Amino acid sequence: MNINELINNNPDLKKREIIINNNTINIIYFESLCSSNDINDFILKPILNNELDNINDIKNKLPINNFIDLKDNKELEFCLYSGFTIININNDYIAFETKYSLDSGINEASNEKVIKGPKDSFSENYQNNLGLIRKRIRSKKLIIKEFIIGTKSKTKVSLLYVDDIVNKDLINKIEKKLKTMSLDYVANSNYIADNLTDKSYMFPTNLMTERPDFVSFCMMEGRCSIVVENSPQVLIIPSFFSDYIKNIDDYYQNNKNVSITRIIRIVAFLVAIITPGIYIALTTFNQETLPTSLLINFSMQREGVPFPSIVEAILLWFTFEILREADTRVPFVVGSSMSIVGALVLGDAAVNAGIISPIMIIIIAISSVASFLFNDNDVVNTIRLWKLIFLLLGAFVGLYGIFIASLLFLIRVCSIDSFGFDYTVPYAPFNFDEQKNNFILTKRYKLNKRNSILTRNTKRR
Amino acid sequence: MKKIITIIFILLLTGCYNYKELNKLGIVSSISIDKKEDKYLIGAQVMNIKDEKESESSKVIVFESTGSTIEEALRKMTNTADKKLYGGHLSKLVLSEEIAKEGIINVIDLFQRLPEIKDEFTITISKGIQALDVIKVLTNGSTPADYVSNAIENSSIESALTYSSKLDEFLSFYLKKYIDPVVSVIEVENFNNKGTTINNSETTSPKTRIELSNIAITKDGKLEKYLDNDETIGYNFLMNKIDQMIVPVKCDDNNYASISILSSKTKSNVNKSNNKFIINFYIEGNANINEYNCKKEINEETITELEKLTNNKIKDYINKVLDVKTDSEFLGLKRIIYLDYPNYNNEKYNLETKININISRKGEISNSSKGEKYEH
Repeated sequence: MNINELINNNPDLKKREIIINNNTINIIYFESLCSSNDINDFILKPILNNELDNINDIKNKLPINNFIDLKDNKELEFCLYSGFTIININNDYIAFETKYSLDSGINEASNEKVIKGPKDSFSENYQNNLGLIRKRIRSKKLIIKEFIIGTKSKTKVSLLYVDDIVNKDLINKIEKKLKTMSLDYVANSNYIADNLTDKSYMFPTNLMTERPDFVSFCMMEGRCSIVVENSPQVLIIPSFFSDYIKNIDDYYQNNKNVSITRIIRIVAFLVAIITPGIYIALTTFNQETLPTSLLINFSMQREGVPFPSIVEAILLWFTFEILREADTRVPFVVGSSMSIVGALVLGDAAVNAGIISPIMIIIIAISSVASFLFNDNDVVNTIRLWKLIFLLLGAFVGLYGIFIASLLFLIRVCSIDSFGFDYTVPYAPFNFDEQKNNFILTKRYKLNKRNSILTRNTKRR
Repeated sequence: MKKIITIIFILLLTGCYNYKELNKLGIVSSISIDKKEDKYLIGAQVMNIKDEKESESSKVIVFESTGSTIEEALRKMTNTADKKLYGGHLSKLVLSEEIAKEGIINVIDLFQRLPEIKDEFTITISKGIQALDVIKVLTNGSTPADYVSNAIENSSIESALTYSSKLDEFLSFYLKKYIDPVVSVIEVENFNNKGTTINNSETTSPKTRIELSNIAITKDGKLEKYLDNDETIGYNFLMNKIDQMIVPVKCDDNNYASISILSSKTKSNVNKSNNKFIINFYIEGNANINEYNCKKEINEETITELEKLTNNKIKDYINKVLDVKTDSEFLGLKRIIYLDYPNYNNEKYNLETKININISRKGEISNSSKGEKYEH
C-alpha cells in the first residue's frame, strides 16, 4: 500500500512510527479529521504502556468501539478519509475510528418555526440525524438502507421507511434510482431530490425539512425519507399539492382551530396568486364589474400616475422581490434596517413622488405577504412565478386572461406525477376519507386514521 | 423554447383589445335627453375625479351637445371632454316631459344595444324642468347620480312613495301584453344657476334641491299621467312592491296613530262566475304601532280597532289608484286574467280586495304617556 504517495499530497496526513521490541508500528491519520486526544488516550497510551507489539494484541486490547480489518487499498483510502486511524504492523492494516466531531450539534430549527412541538432540528451530522429519527420510532420495523453516492464525495445517503406501513412499489422505485445514481459530488440533499425525478417541476414533489418530528410523522403516514450526509435538510417523498396547506404544527394543536387555520391558508394561497392579476384585469378591461364607488376610488388613486397599470405592477413586483432577496442574503444585524428602508422609505416615497398608486402597493403587498404563509421556499417561489403569469395574462386580455391562466395552472398541477402518485390527491381523484385531513382536520382522523392514499394495508393506527 | 416564443407572440399580438386605463375614463353617471328643435339635446354628467384634498372643484362635470341621434351627440362631446366617456356605470337616465310624451321607447334603443352599458339604470322623467338642468344640480354628500338613485331606492323601500323602474323591468313590462311600465319622476325645487355651483352644496339647506315626486304611468311607451302620493302607495300595494311604509290612522277624533307595515304580501287570483271575471286581491301583513297619540289604553280591543282602521286606510289607497282615469294598463289587471284565461278578450271584470294586517307589536311602551297619570 502506497501511504508515502498520499503523504506527499496531503500535508495534514500524519504518520507516527513506534518501535517496540524491534517491531515497527505505523500509526497513520488525518490531523484535520481525527481527534488527537482520542489517539493519545486510546491508541498511543495502551500501546506504549503495555508494549503491545503484535496485531492481535492491538485488536483485543485497545479500548475503542469501532475497528475495521482492512483488506485492500480502496477500503484503506475510504477509512482514512472518513476519520479513522490506521495502524500498520508488517503487512497487516487495521483501522480505529477516532473521528473528530466537525458539526454544530443539535440546534433549534431556524427555518420552520412552530409554536407548540419539539424544537430540535437536523444538523450536518449524519449519525445524529439518524439518531433523531430512531429516537422517535423505536421499532424494528424502521428500516434504514444505506447507499454511498458520489464518486468523489462518497456521501452516505440512507433511505428510511417503516416496513409495514410504506407502499412497497414506492420503495422499489426509489431504491432503483438511488442504486443507479451517478454523481461525483453531493452538495446537499437537493442533489438527490433532483436526480430522483426525470422531469423537473417547479412545484416541489418532495418536502425538504429540518424537523425530525415532521420526518417521523410522515414516515408513520406511509412516506419514506432520505437522509443525506452533511445536509441538515431531510427529504420526504412523495409530496402532494395538498401538503402546501398542511404544517406539522397542525397536529400539535386543537383540530378545530387548525381547520380554521387551513381555510385561511387556502384563501391566502388564492390571494397570493390571483390578486394582482384580478386587479389589473378589472381596472383595465372589466370596469363594469366594479361597484361605482370603488371604481371612483381606484380612479382617484391612479390620477397622475404616468405609467400604465401593468408597468406599475411589474415595477412594484420587481422592487418587492429585490427587497426580499436582499433580506435573505443580508447579515442578520443589518436586516431590520433593510426592511425599514424597503417598506417605509421606498413605499411611502414612491407614492408621494406619484410614480405608483397606493392601491397598487396594497395589492402587491397583500399578495406577497400571503405567499409567506407557506414555509417551503420552493412553494413561495412557485407562487411568485404563477402570480406573474396571472398578472401578464390579466393585463393582456382581462378577465378572459385570468380564466386562461387558471386553466393553465390547473393543467400544470394535474399533469405532475409525484413518484407514481397523482399530485392533486385527494381533490382529484377525489378521496372522501382524506377530506378529513384536508381543509378541515377531524379529531378522529388525527388519532385513529392513516393516510389511505399512501398506504394500502394499515388504514387504522 | 419554441413554445415560449409562441406564447410571447400570442400575447403581444392581442394588441390589448378593449384595454382602457382607469384614469383616462370619464365615468358617465347620468345622461339627460331633451328636445331642441328637431334634434336631441344630450347632457352627460361625468364624474370629476380629483384628489379629495383639492375639493375646490365640483364633483361632476356636465357636457352637452346636440345631434339627430343620441350616439352622435355623445360622440360630439369628445370635442369638449378630455377623457373617453364610459357608460358602464350609468345610474340614471333623465328624460324631459316632451321626450317622454313622444315616447320613452324611442330613445332607449342605444342603451340596450351597447354592450358596455348595464341595463340596471333608473329611468326618470323631469317634471316641469329641462332634463339637462336636473343633472346640473349639485347635491350634498354623494355624487348627484348616486344621490338620486339612493333616494329613489330609500323612498321606495321605506315609504312606498315612489318606485324605481330599471331599464330591464321597463322593457319587460312594455313588451308584455296587458301591462304598461311606470317610471319615477324628478322635480327640482327653485332651479336657478346658483344650484349648479359648488356653493349649493356648501350650506345645510341648499336652495336648489332635487326632489322625487312619485311615479308617472305610461301607455305604449309614452308618458300618460302622473300619480300622486296616495295613488302611488295604492299602486305599490297592488303590485306587491311594499317593503315598509307608514299608514297614519285616526284613533280618536283629533289624534292619529302611525302603523308601520313591516312586511306585506299581495296575492291575486281570478274567478269566473256567470261569464264574469272576478279578480281577488289578498293583502296580508304584519305591522307595528310606531306612534300612538290617543288617550285610550292599548288592549286587544283597541288593537283590533286599529287593525280595522289600517285595513280601511289601505283600501282607500287602493280605491284611489283604481279610480285613476286612464287607458294605460299600468296595474296589469287584465294581465292577471289573461295569464289564467288566455282566451280573454277585453271583457269586463270586477275587483275584490281582502286586507288583513296583523298588529303584532306595540313598541317599547304600552300606553301613551298622554293617558292617565299614576295615582301615587
